Amino acid sequence: VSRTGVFTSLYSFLGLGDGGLPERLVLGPDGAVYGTTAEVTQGPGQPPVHGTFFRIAPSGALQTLYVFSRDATGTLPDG
Amino acid sequence: LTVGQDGNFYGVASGGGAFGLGTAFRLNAQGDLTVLHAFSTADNVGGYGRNVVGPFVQGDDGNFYAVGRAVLRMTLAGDVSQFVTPWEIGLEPFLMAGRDGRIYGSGVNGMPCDHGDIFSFSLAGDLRGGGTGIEGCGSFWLDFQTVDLSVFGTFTMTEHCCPTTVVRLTPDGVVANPTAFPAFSSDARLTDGGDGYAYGVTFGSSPSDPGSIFKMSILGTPKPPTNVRLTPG
Repeated sequence: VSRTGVFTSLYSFLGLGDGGLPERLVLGPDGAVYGTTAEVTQGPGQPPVHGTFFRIAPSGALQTLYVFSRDATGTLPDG
Repeated sequence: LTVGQDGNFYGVASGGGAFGLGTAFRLNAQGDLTVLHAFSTADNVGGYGRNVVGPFVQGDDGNFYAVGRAVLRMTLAGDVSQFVTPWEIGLEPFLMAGRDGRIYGSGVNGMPCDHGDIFSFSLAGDLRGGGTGIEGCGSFWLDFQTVDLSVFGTFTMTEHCCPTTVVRLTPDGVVANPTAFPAFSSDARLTDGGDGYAYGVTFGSSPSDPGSIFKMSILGTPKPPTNVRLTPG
């Protein structure tokens, strides 16, 4: 959102393999926006996703960098 | 998720892990994940409206701090220890790093409508109750500390009673100028714009009210917010 109130939607989560319920975003050292999702979602024919770690470039392109699954790494990264 | 001083991302997962109570992890910008700690009952976590703890804040000493039943300190190597135990943490505890080097925490007691508490601690373990019994309801988040070292926090409105309220805690621990704005419902932290205004978002109550972004003056007596209209771009 610009200072004058112009709003631009960068990415809308589908709640599938890209995750859902995005948590608070942080600004990365490279100027991109990073965040996590903390909802169990599942795309067609894909295994369940128990949260994701993603990067959004200034252009709005989202890249899923890590997918949490039900293993020892933990699930639902919400903090 | 927190960006560490080393440029990596540090976070807490509220489920899973070796003991089922979640993990603390580090991710780099390429998505390589390292589990730093698997939370267990020995860490005194859980309850108080959260599964585990989080989010982390990083102190000037490089260590990370999070709060559950107590304030935990985690080193970069993932060693977790109980650091301080405020006398009253309350529900949904939350930590915020201050400009003054202290770390501030908040919680609410008597959900949904009772009061909020603020505490703070230095990295040497000096614990202070900065202000207690602040009237409000809903969750109570700390937003930011201004250059004059005032701490701002926000009570979110619930459907039950009182409105969203922004409070300012002066450096000497006095709660000053609570500002309620009943027309808005906010469930996100305010951001200090550095221009004399704090910025926040509201959630909508109906399809015709999709929410808004607002700003409110924080110079002198805080004033009720002014809407910034959303203009799709």
